[in-house]
Formats: sequence, structure tokens, C-alpha cells
Amino acid sequence: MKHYLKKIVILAFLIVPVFAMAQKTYKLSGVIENKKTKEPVVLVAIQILELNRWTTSNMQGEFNFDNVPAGEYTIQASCLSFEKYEYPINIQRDITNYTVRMEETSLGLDEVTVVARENTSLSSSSKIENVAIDHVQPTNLADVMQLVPGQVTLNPDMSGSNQITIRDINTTNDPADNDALGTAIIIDGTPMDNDANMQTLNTAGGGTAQDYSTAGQGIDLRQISTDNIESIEVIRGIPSVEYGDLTSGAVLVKTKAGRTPLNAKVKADPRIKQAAVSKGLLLPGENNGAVNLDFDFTHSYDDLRRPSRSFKRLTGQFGYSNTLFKATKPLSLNLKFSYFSTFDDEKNDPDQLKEEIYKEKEQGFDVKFYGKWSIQKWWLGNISYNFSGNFKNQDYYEYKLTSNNGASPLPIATVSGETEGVLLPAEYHSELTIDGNPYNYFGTVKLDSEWKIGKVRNNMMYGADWRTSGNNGEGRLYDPTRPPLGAISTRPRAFKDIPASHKLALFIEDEITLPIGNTELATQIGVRYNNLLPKGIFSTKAYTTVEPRINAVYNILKYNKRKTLRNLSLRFGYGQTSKTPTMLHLYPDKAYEDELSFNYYPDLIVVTTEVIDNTSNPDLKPMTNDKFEIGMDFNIKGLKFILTAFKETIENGFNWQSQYFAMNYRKWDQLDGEGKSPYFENGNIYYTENGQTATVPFNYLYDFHSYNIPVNNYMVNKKGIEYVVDFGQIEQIRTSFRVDGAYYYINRIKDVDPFPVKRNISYMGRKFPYFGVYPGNKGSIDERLNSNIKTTTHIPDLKMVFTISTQLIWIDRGQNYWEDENGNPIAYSLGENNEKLYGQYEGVDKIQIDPIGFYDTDMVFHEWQDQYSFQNPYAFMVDENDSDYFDIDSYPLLWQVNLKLTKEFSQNAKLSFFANNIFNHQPLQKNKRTGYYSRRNQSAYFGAELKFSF
Amino acid sequence: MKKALVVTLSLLLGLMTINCSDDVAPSYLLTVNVEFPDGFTAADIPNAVSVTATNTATGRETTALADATGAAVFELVEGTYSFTTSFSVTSGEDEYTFNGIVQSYTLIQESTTTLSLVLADNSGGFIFKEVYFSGSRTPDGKTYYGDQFHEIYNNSGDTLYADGLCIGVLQPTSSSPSPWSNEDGSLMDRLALSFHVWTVSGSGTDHPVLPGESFIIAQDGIDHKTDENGNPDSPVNLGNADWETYVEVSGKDLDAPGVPNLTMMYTTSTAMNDWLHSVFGAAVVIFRLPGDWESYAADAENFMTRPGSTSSTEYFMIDKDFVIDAIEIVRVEEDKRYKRLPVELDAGYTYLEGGTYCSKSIRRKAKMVVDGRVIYKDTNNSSEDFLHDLDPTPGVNPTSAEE
Repeated sequence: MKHYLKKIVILAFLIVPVFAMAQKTYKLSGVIENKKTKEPVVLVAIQILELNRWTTSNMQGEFNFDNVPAGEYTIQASCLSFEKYEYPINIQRDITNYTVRMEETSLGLDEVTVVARENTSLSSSSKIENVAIDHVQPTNLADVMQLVPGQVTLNPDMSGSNQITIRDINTTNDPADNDALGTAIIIDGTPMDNDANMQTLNTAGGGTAQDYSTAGQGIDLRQISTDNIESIEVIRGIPSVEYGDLTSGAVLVKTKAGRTPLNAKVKADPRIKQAAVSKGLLLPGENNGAVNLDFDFTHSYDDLRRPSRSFKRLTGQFGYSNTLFKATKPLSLNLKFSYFSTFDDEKNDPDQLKEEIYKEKEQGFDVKFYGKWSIQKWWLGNISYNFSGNFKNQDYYEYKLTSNNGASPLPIATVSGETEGVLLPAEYHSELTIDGNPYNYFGTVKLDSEWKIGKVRNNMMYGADWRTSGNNGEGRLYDPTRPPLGAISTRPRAFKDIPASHKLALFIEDEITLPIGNTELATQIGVRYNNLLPKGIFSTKAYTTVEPRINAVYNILKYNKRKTLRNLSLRFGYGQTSKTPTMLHLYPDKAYEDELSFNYYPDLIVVTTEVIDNTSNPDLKPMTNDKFEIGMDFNIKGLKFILTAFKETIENGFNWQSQYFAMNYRKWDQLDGEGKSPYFENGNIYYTENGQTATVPFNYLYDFHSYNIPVNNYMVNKKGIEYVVDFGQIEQIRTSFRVDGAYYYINRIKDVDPFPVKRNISYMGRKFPYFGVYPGNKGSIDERLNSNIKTTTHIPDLKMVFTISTQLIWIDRGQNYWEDENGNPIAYSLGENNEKLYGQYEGVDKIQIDPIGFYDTDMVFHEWQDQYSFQNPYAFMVDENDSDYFDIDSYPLLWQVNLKLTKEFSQNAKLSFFANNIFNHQPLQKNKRTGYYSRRNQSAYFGAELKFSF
Repeated sequence: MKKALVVTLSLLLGLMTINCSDDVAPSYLLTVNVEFPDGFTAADIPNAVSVTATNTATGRETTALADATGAAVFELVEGTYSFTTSFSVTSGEDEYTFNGIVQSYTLIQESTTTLSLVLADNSGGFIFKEVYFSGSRTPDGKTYYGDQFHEIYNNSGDTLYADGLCIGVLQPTSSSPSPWSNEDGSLMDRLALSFHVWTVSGSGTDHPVLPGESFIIAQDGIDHKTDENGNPDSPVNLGNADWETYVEVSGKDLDAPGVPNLTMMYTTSTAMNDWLHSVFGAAVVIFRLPGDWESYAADAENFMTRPGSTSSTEYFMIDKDFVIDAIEIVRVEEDKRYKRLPVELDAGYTYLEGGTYCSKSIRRKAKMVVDGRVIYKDTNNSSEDFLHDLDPTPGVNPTSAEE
């Protein structure tokens, strides 16, 4: 292994030029002050962007950079509660009196941004800063997403899990959509990990169930409070190679660090009440760092009329941050502890007869240690590090009344074979506990360096990360003789017996800036190597992936205010990303399949059980996404356009598929007549008749059984255009206009490969003797074009911002999709002489789709013959649908108007108010295919929050 | 502001006017022309035909007599109505029963409609004597429907054989508009059966049923009152039922060894534990197939998917001519009574006023009792033929006529 490591290191150094250019260096130092009060601002992060050099101002507001090579650079300073400072600087001599004047963030400033800022450099992303977050008034991360182009506003709803979507049409929360699973949520450099979440009842029977937590899916965003967030960046395009284990995109969250006043916030809307306090303080003394604390309590009701169902959340965070050796080789240290606890609770109305309890409690503790050390060598600029651990406790409990009509036989065997079954009463209370203790460790070390060859500047970054996810929970606990509904085909299972997953990744990236005339071409090119369950660095127990990624931006026209076309840049990107399967996909539950072999009520029940120990899929691969995008940014007379076109191909998405097998079992003859006292002994059933003991005859039968296995049978082809048009501000009315939105075309194929379906009917009094295999490439196509017209009125004198956003959905279309691989229709209608008319659906009631074949109980595959479509029993396997199955469901233009208002009162109080769909425009629209009417748009919704600062 | 006030006020006023006009709903003249089946005219009927109009919203009934041309004239308030008639005519030895029904007729102006009469085929034979489908409640107030039964009676003067007799419920199983209709809205001539479809096994003469005798088909052949897994509050003991609908294919049903099992010919769902007659009431039929059931079930022509449905589930189809007896049991709510059976099989419907789990049954009226043997009323019109909300009496016949 060392051998390989060596190679990598050598390789890395080979790319780096072997000579450093002897260059004259200078000193840059100065002071940072508050523009208004002229007081020094302490602990400000200040950077020379092009050089990757950074430091922090000391308690006197002073900063110092030594050995700065001559050149033109950008100075950037940022500090909590202040506006970001960015200014060009030309260093050709020692500068010792540079003054950075920073403005305190306030609505009284001339310029504030309450919309997402689109990144116009390398990757397409939206950055949402503190002021914009405040203006949205979110209770969790999901609420902020409405600012991203292509998203639509949804009312806050904490009654169920909140999943993120990027570049998608958010229709259903189907776990197979894999969208949220493929989105990395990275908080202060640590990716949140939901891979060890195992809170499901039965993967063999139900796949990824949605009821319990979000196992096998993305993070439940309700767990992330937004109060301690300083900024959020949503990467929709091709992320840098340092971000991995994702397909859709990444959300980078930066929490607050540094001095803040004591903030207290209360928020209320019809369903959610929230209170939060936070404070950031400097520890006394010279250079002792800052401490940040915050607490947040949120209580949400699903429905005011049903107070019995609620969601509560408590979060707390303690952070310590400091920078050592500020004047020489600064080293930043951040230590964060955070805690969250969420509690979903539902009690049935006590007036009701059946008493049921449902509780879901999750708590998590997070510790992170991260920072950066500025080494300032040409071959090593900085070392960044992050080591974190996350420990969760997930506790699901339900006490439920399960009713069947009458008692039924219940198998309880945990090994294959014939056993006596017990009787499950018609009605009983089942008790189920699912105890999960997922834990994650994450560690990364990243090195960067910056150098120039001639005029070409290189910023190189390389590093490695390691992830471990495991679960120490007791797992599913219940009494097998009183199983919860849906658990008959499974048995209790402890999660701690499941091995932990480890992931290793190496990455290297170079950002090359090439000046062309007075403009430049910047290219970020990198590669990421992932290894799931590594044996060594390059050997694996599972699989490895290599992901090349490239982003380039060519600034053709530099900004020039005098021209009509004031600037123009072109962007291009291509990248591969991948997401490993979760623990749930890697270690699915055993399947327990049972057949009733003998039934003589109430004396004897004999059950044959077959246990499938290994339901995992050895061919399961990581889900991948190939992303391609091109973009263009230009400014025509002050009108700013940002256009991005993309094409994404998500392959090997995770899904569950039935695995059929023919189970062989003994079936004893039905014993008629009472009082024969049958008993089961040594594999025989004996009974007594007229004082004689006799055995019951039996024969061998085959019947199909199935269990779910995880498969890569899901694919999405996405195409689209995202656009932002910024009209700028009309100064007379202090109002700025902006239109953003997207056109998405999403072809979701939920069954890529041919898939089996067993008909749930009987044939000749027995279970249907075949299961059909249907052609794959089946799914749906959705299209949406939306625009958000945002007007922002900002009156600094009143310290007020008021936004009206008109959300328009121009195109909203959906249709079913099922074709063969050449794009030919596979559905047909029947002509007058029973001839199959493929693709002709007019003038008939029903259309048919033939299977490609079927299996019999010997598990022999039979290819479909044309005449089978008209012969029983085969004809039962023909898939039938209404002739409008492939029709397009298209809805007319839909609009909705949302308002948001933020106003500051003096220095201490800030009031925000929002109202969604103020006209309560909810047109009733008919679904052409189903004929059902439904309301589009969500109902009018409003809320307010009040924030005090002391 | 002022303008808004004016607009609001005028809107309110407008609403009030609409309301007022509602109070004086107009009434219209409606002529119902009674149309006789081929071979009969109004002249054949000694008494004038009485037609009943029922307002489906209010349940209010109005009766009118048809004149010599067969026209019955109503003056009715605007609304939706059903028109029914049922009467018998004796001619020598023969008794002819006529039924007619027009459902969901919307009256919004003076109009004319036709009520076609059908001649009931009540040649005797097997009939449903009693159906107990409501289920019961346990002492804890929980629901229980394992005690359902169907009792089939030999109403004829000859010995009949149960061998080959089939039973099933129609799709949709609970009262909702039937999708099995022709383009003109009339019901199809084939009936779609849902869930399990059963037959009595036998060579043809294995299971004789004497005149005036009956057999009971139990969902579970146990004494529901005393069995450990039964319901002490159940009204029935079915431990001595004649047949049980044991659903072996589900692997979830229990087999009472004391009661022989019917043979399942087909089911739309092997996952269902029991053969269920919806506790809201189903349309249930007994019938005979033209040949042996295996060859019938093997013919793809005898199965159909539901019109207007995306489901590929195939339903067992029978010709309405196969039917021996049928009952349309609908929901108690006036506006949820939908006919699934063609008028020739059942011109009316019956229901339980007690609703679901009320422990009550429906039973045919005893038309006459001759030497202790009951002859049940069978005019193929269950509105006329059945009593409802009775205590279930499996195997027990009334002792006097109930007309």
C-alpha cells in the first residue's frame, strides 16, 4: 500500500513545477475598522483571494501578511454581522497602512441582497446570505430552497419529513426518486450522513418504507435549524472534487462564528411556533477566541384541528473559534458541538375506542474540529483539516391495534423447515420499537498550493477523506407472536450486528487561470477517486469509482459600462459524481417466507418456512450522475442575464425489486370432520378416527414467493435551462426587478430492466402458476417551465425591505412512458380481427402490453408467443391499461403571489412577515386521465417573526 | 374602500336572492309511460298500474296511477327521482310478475319518460332465503364479520341438487355506480364478479336439497358465539353450516374441520383472507355455468378488466342468463344506492337500516305456508320480496305468511 501512496505523492509533486520563480515579496499590513464608528473590528477573516493567503485581525483590528509577491490581487474581508468587503489591490511595494472599512449589516445600508446570488464563475450555484435567509423566515433548510432558480415556494410543513430536491420537479416523496439521497448536505465542511439510518420495518417486504424516519433516503431537513446559519450555497452544477458521495448536488452550510449581539427570536405561523436565542462573544484577554451559543425550540402542529399530532425540535450549538499565529503563519481552530432532538408524536383521540400511540424520537450529538493552517510555501499554501463525529439515537415506538377478520395462522419460525404455527387473534395490540444508534466519523485533510508559470496561475488542491458509518442500535424489537402489521414476513433484527461501512476518497484538482488579452480563461480540472469498503487504498471489498470533473469559464468581454454589451462570459462543465448505496441497501433484511402446510382449526397448524438469509444484491453498484452544462452570462445595458443549460444522466439509481422463487413444500390433505385431534410428530401428521391412529396423506407443491432485493433499476434523464434576469433597480421607487426560473424536462425510468410481476389472482383454485416478466424502460416524463418575478423594494431610511414574488408556472405536463430500447411503442390495441396494432390507441377502451416472457414453478423461463395474449392462463399476464394511458396531462398557466416584508426598528428589533399565495388562488383542475379534480397551488399561508438584539 | 363595500353588499344581496329562489323550487309535470313487454298490453292488466316516484334526495314517495294508455302523470318538485313499479297478475294457474325501474332521472322541466316493464322469471328453484352480511360488534365495540352467511332455499316442489351451483358477488362490491355499462349507459349483459367465486363440488347428484329445505354457506363454520376466536356478541352459531368458504390460497384463513369447503373457482386477490360480502351490502348472485367450471375458467373470453381502470386485474364474467337468483343489496344512504344488477334479475334493492355491524340480516318474505312448508315470495324485485333488519335465523323458517 505504501508503494501506491508514494506514487501518488510523487505524481503530485511532478505536476507542481520543480522550480519556484524567484520573485520579490512585500509586506501587506493594516487595520480593519468599522466604517461608521471607526472602532477596530476584531477577528475578521481577511484574504488575498488569488494567493489563497488568509489571516485574522487581532484584538486591535490589525492584520499582517508577510512575503506577498508583487501583483494585482483582490482583498476580501468578512466577519459576522458585517457586509463582505472586497477590493482590488496592487502590491508593488510594502504597504503597512492599509485600512479596511467594514459596514455593519443593516437594512439601513444602500444595498442589501435578499435574493440568492448566482455564482457566475466556475460551477453553477446559488449563494444565500444571512440577510436573505432572514427575509425568507425559514424554520428549516428546506424553506430556504425557494430562493434557488427552478424551485417553487411551498408552505412550511414539519408534519412529515422534509427532503431536498435539486433540479427536479418536486411531485412526490417517493424514496425511489433518490434525489435527496444524492444531495450532499455539508455543514462547516462535514457532510451529514444518513447512510446508517436503518429505521425501517421490513426491506424484504416493503423496501424503503417512508413511515419511519428517512432510512435509505436523504437527510430529514427538519433536523437542521437555520438560526445559526451564516450562509448557504446550493451547488447545482458540477461540484469541486473535494465534495463526493453525491449525485444531484451539494448544499454547503456555514454556521456562525464570531461576535454577535444576544439575539432572541420568536416566530409564529398557523402551524409552527419557534423561539430561538443566540449569542457570540469574545473571550476576555488577548487572543482567546470567540464562543458562539445558540438554542432553538420549534413546535409544529400538523393541523390545528388535530392537536394530537405534533412535531417538536430542540437544537443547541456550542462553538469555539480562534486563530493562532495571526501575524505569521495563522492557524485557525474551530470546535463545534451541536445537539438536536426531534420528537414526532401522535396520540389518537382519547375518545376513540382504539387507543394507539406513535412516537418517533431522534437525537443527535455532533462534534467537529476543523480549521486551516497557512504554511505559505510555494508548494504548500495551506493545510485544511476536519475531523468530526456524529452520534444519533433514533427511537421509534408504536402501539397499534391490528385487526384482521378472525384469527389467522402465524408462523414464528426463524429457521427453514416445518413447524407448528400459532394462532394470531383477530385483534391485538402490537408493540414495535425500532432502536437505531447510527454513528458516523468523517476526517479529511486537504492541501493547497498556488504558483505561477509565466502568466498562468495555478491553484492546486489535493487531499483525502475518510467516512465511517455504522449503527449500534438494538434494532427492531417486537413480540413475534404479536407482530406489527407488515412484519409477518420478517423477524426482529439487531442493527448492531451489521458491519459498519467505510469509504475512502482521494482527490486532486487544479484551477488554472490563463490571461487572454485583458480577459481570462479559468479552468478547474480535477479527479476524485472513491473506494467503498477499502481493503487498501486501491483494493476494495465493494467497488471503486473514478470521477473526472471539469469546469471552465471564459470571460470574453470584461465589464465595460460604456458598451451596449457590457460583459460576456461563457461557462462549460462536465463531471461525474456517484453515491454509494446506504447500509439499508447493502445489508437488507432476511426474508421469511411461509406456506400453510396443514390447517385443522383449532387443534393444529403446520407451517413451512423458508428463510432467505442473504437478500443482498452482489451486483449493486453506486448510483452515478453524468452532468454536462454550458452557461452564458452577459450584461446588456445593465440587464444582467445568467443562463445555464444542463443535461444530467442519473444511472444505477437505487430501487427495490421483487425476487421470485418457487417454494417447495408439503401440503397435507384437508382433514374433514371434527374431533380427530391431529398432531405433528417426526414430520408426520397423525390423527385418530374410531380409536385408530392414522397418518394424513400429503403431496408436494410449488408456489411462488418473493422478497425484495435492492437493485440499480432506476434512471433519470434530465434536461433543462435555468435562467436569471436581473433588471437592476429603478432608483426613483427604490425597487429592483429580477426574474428567475427554469425549464425542466425529466424523464424518470423506474424500471430500467425487464421486471417481474406476479398476478394476485388464482387459476383453477390455486395461486397463479406463472409470473410474467415485463419489458423495462418504463417510467414517466415531466416538464415544467416556471418564472419567479421578484420585485424588491428597499427603503434604507425606513430600514425596510419588501418583496413581492409572482410565481408563474407556464408549462406543467406529465405523461407515462414505456417504450422499447429503440423508442418503439410496446403497447397495442386490438383490431377487428384481434390483430395487434402497436402504438394505435384511438377508438378503443383498452390497450395491452405483452410480457416478454414468464417463469413457471420450475423457474423455467418461457418466451412470450404472440398467441398467448388470447389464451388462458397466459392471457391473465397481459398488462392492460386505459387507452389514454400515454396521453399527456397538461395544465394551464398557474400563478401565485407571495409577499415578504422585513423591517428594522432602531438597532434592536426586526420584524418580518410573509404571506404565501395571498389571493388564495387555488384553481380546480381536472386530471384528464383519471377524471379527478384537484386543487393546484397550496392554500394561502402567512407567518411572522420578531427578532431582538441586545 | 367605498367601492369595495358596494361590491360586497351587492354580492351578498345576489347570494340572498339565489337563496330565496331556492325556497320556491319549481315543480313540473312529468309523464311516465309504462311500456309492457312483448305480448302484453295495458288491457291485460285488470287494475291500473301504480307507479311510485321517489325523490333520491329526500326519500319522499309519490304515487300515480297509469291511465288506459299506460301514462302515469306526476307533478313533482325539481330534483332527481327514481320510478318503480311491481305487480302480479294471475291468469288461470299462471302468475305473472312485472317489474320496472327508472333510476336517477333528473327532472328540470316538463318532460316524459318511459318505464319499461320486465316479466319476472320466477319459475322457482334455488333462491336466497336469507343473507347476513352486516357483521357484528364485539363486547369491546370492535368489528367482526367472520360470522357472515348466505342461506339458499329450495323454493320449488322438486328435489334439487346443489352440485355445480356457484355463488359470487358483483364488482363493484360496495354500492357505487357500476362501470360495467354499455355506451348508452345501460348495464352490460355480462356480470363481473369480484373477489372469490365459489362452486359446490359434486357429480351432479351428491348434494340433494329437498323442497322446502335449505343449505347455509358460512364464511367461517364455527359457533361464533362460543368459539375462543369468535365473538360472544355474534348472533349466530354456524358450527353446523353446510358449507364453508375456506380461502386456502391465502394461507391466512382457518379451516373449521366440521364444515366442508366450497371449491374456489377464481379470485381477483389471493391475498384476501376471507370471502367477503361487503358489510355495506353487495349484489350477490347464485348461478350455474353452462359446462364444467374448469373449462369455463380456462377460456380467456370469460374474463375482462374493469372499464375505465388502469388495473390489469381480470374479473370473472358470467352471462346474466346463467343467474338463478340475485339480490341487489345497497347502502342505506338514499344517495348511495346504485344498481349493479340488471332489472330482469332484480328490479329493486334492499338494505339494512341498521347499517354496518348491526347484527341484522335480510330475509325473503314468506308468501304462504302450506303444511308447515314455506313458499317464499320471489318476484325478482328485492324491494318487494325482502324484509330487512331482522335477527339472523340460519336454517329457521317463519311459521306464517308475511305479506
